Amino acid sequence: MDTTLLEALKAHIDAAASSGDPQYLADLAGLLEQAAAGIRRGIGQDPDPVLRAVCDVYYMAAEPPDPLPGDPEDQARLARLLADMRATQRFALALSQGDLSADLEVRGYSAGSLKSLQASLRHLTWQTAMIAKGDFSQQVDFMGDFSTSFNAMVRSLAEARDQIQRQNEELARINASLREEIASRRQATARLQVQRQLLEQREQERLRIARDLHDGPLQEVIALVYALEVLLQSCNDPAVCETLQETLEIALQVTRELRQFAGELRPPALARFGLKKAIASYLENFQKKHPNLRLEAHLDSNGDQLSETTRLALYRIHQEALNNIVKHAGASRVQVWLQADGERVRLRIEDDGRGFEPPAGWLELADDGHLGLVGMQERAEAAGGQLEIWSRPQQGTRIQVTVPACPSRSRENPGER
Amino acid sequence: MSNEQKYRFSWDLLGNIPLGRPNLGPRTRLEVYRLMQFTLRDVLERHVGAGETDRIFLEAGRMAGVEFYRHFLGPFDSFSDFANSLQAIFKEMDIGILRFEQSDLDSCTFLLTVSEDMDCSGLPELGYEICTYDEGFIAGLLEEYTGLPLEVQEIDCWCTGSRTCRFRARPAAPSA
Repeated sequence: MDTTLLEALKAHIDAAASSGDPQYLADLAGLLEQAAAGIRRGIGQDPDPVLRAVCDVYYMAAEPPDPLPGDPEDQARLARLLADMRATQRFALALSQGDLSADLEVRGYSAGSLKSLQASLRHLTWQTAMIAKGDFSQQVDFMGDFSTSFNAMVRSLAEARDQIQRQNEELARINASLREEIASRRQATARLQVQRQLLEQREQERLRIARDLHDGPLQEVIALVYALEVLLQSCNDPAVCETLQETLEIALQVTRELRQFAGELRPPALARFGLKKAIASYLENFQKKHPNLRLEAHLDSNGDQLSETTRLALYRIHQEALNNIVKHAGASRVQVWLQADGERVRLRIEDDGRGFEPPAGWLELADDGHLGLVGMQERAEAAGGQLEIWSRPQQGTRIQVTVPACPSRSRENPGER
Repeated sequence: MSNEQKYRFSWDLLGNIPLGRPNLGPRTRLEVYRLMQFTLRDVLERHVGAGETDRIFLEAGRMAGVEFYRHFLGPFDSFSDFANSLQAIFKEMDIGILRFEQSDLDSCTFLLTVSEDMDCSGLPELGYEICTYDEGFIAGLLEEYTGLPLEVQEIDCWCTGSRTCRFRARPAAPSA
């Protein structure tokens, strides 16, 4: 520190001491203590406290009070004035250092304007705290240009808050919608699971019946056929032989029908031969049974991109549709399409039969006794697909089932062909 | 002469001003208000003493604050609404420029200033605070909002050299 400055300070302090004002001296002593402490800590470490303390001392010592002239009344008035001025000085100093405490003791008009400024800053502080708590209604109507900037900032904050609020509301709406969607999908998944289990059970039941037919009645009829053949070989009476021959023909017919019936009940070997071949094979037999029907097949896909369960569902739907045509449609022409693209596989069965008026919904369909169609719908849904029925009286019927393809299916299960 | 109360306050006592003052309207000059208040204070002080006069002014101010709140303000959903409305109506009715400096609803303490107020702005420096009526008025307003008895003290006043009056409100000490 410059020794000249210290000397100057000392001179001021001496002059102040000569004024004899105890409060003033006490203030100076305190400030000098701070300066000395700062100097002891060394300027090199942190010069700011030292410089501030020195400035404070210098500020206080700059205008040491003179001995008061005049009569005692004037002296008292001047003393009050000087006290007010010193209080104002302290207040201004505190204010300049950012001290906005409402408890700073200062009286007199000379400090009034500064106190107004302090009050404005205190109110501004309160407004800032209110804004921090989310009250964006705060507006500053004093402090000139600052007010404009401050109010613009508050407006920006309010707009940002409103925008966040709107975004939150939108997110909440989307979340609610997603929750509903998830719940709906869970319900659908559970329903599909049940449907699949039921269909699985149905297939198992069909298989069991097919086996029972094969192992029971079919074997017995075959035994009957053998017995009839033996009897026929040893028969000498032409009339009896004729009767035996007729009975043998009937037994053979029953055998064929039982085999066919059991075959229809048994799941086809889709994994081994593929959907296209299974349907083609069925259509071939179907054409043989119904030679008057003009049957056209457009089988462009093998359904390799479908799971075994889905392929079986399509097979059963086509089977049910053809049986319905024979039972109800009185059609002369039937067309079957099996097509696929990258995303879905489509099966369509179309006839030119008498058609019908489709009910509005599946419940009405069940009520009207179209249980075969309801079964098709269940199978399509269980496979994650959709069944569409188009029909008009005397205009034929078109049944189309569309199921989603599983692109990786053919790569994952190359053996299922 | 009967000592029975003749003028129990009700808002109706203020009368139908548009009917009664179709030409002059609801406003008067501030020096008239001060003339009436200070002459009243003068007479009261001479009759019952300065301390009792302060108590009377405080009580009257509190009653005015309560009535003012019930008639012109509240209820409010938030403190912000209350503060904004109070500030606006003070300005609108030329009562003064009110600004909050501190508000703590948990401890029910408030610090606020009123500049250009009706009671003291522009008065000579007296060396003591004189806005006793305002203390009561502010207490009545804040008590109606908070629902708690409050004690309001003026800590800065034009008459002590400030250019704005500052009031501190805090919960009233329980009466013995």
